[in-house]
Amino acid sequence: MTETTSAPLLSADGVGKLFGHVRALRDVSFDLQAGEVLAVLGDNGAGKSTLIKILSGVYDLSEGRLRVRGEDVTFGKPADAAAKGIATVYQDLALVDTRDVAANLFLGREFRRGPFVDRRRMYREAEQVLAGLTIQLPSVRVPIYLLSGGQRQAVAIARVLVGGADIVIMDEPTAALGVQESERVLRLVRDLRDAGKAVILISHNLQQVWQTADRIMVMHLGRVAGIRRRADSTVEEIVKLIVYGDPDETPGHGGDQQVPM
Amino acid sequence: MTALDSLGVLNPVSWFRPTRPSGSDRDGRRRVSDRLLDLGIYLSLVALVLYFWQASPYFMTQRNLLNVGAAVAVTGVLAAGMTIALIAGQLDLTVGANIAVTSVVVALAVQDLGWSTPPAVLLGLAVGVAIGLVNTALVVGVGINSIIATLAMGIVIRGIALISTDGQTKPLTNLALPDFLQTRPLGVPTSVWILAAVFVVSWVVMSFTRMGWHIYGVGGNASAALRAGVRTKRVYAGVFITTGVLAALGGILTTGTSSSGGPNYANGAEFDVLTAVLLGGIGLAGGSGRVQRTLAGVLVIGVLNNGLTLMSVNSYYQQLARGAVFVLAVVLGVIGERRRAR
Repeated sequence: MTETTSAPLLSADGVGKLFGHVRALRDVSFDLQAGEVLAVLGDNGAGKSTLIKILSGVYDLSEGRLRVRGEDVTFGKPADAAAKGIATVYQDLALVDTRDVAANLFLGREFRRGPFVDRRRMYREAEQVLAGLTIQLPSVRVPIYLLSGGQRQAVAIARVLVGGADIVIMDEPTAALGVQESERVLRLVRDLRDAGKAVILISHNLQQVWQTADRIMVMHLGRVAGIRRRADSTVEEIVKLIVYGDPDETPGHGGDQQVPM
Repeated sequence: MTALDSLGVLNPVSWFRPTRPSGSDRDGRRRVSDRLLDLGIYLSLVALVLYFWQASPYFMTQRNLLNVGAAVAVTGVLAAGMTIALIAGQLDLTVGANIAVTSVVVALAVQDLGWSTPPAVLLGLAVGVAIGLVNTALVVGVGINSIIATLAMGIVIRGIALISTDGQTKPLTNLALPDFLQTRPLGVPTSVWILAAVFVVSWVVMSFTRMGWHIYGVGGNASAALRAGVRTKRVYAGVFITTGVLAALGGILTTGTSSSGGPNYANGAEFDVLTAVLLGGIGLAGGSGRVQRTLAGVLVIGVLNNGLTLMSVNSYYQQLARGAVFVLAVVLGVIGERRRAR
């Protein structure tokens, strides 16, 4: 890792989000390098979803700033984040069931030839992208509703590759999958990293995080409880961060439940 | 979607399955019947044509077939628009009232204001655009379900049409528009040319343009399309403007063929149009359907009406036949959707 020398691909600096008087996020700061997987862990209500939505342009932030490749950015809509190379693979996968694989891969960024969509090019490139993944799909002309859960996940991930995004946010990619399918998807996550993408992996599953992440950011009650390199940390430390928001907390103490308002 | 996901979870083997379906008898049979169901509307059209061909010596004549085309021109033009709306996951129930107000506006412009026909026609189309914009504002801006918004707007629009002629039908004495529609370039009535042009353009837009692909995407999964960067509000606006303009075109055709503008024209036309569209198997759920199938649905109704009339079937029985066809279409549609969702 070269986190001290190369500029981060994405950095958040004091990011906060208010919904009316409710503070969902406070002072979130982190850097993300190319070719690393940063796992974001945290209990329900820790602010993971709010953070994803800010990074993917669904919400605008209330405080702080975001930089992509050192450049300040503001996102008013998802397309703004996409334009900066940030792609999000949502938990619900955000696929159009009635359309075929290629139409889904290129939704919102269809190739054109004159006034018309370039179908031939889209089908060809869709085949190339999917051939590069270790996933079997019957054809790029199959509608999504005929695919299995894992195959759908593959299509959603392939969308990222097609879009040329270099920052990939994955929201609970294995939540709806069985054991074998989860392994496949985690391998895809590592493939993305090895291809030089920066991956933010939101997960509940500590075991999967341990297999996949380079660094782990734990969120607790809307703030960052800690960021650890996986190699330098222990499961016990991470669990304490998740549960108490503090690595030195001992069970039963019950302190440090500052409600961030 | 989640139900389908869980099907995948229950069957992790599917992950590794190279192709799907793997060719089991059950899958094979299902696919053949799916395909027959897909072709159903075309097969029905062929069957009706063959039946009336042998039943009546007048049916399979060039002149009669062109009559069928002319008779379904207005319904067909509206049905093309309704198909696009349904693919986008919306409905536009203002189209009947739109016809009435357009015909009244065109007739008043020509008769009372002394406009020549081309600007009056353009004004009629502009009325269609305006109705499309109001529908967009209600559905996208305010966020009202399109069935409710356009049902209400249809009542308002017909009210405006009734007020502006005091409920009377306005006859045209300037016959430029009727005369134009009576021309038959290459022996084919102008209205049939217009119908054909509307369907060709709709097919090209829906199948080969980014707008068309976005309409399918928005109708299939609006939030996915939005998150993929599709400007969904713009797509909806395009859809409602399209249905508005096509209905206005229908209104202009109606004005020309009847040589008058009438506030009561096309009362309930939405339902004839929906019959044709549903007959074509366009799902109400959005995201699927093809305009060429709707054209087949329109022609099934046209051929049925024409054939039954040629065979001197009592018009009450014709009504029964139309209703039966509608029920059949809906049943087939439900079966089709169930199979897709399996």
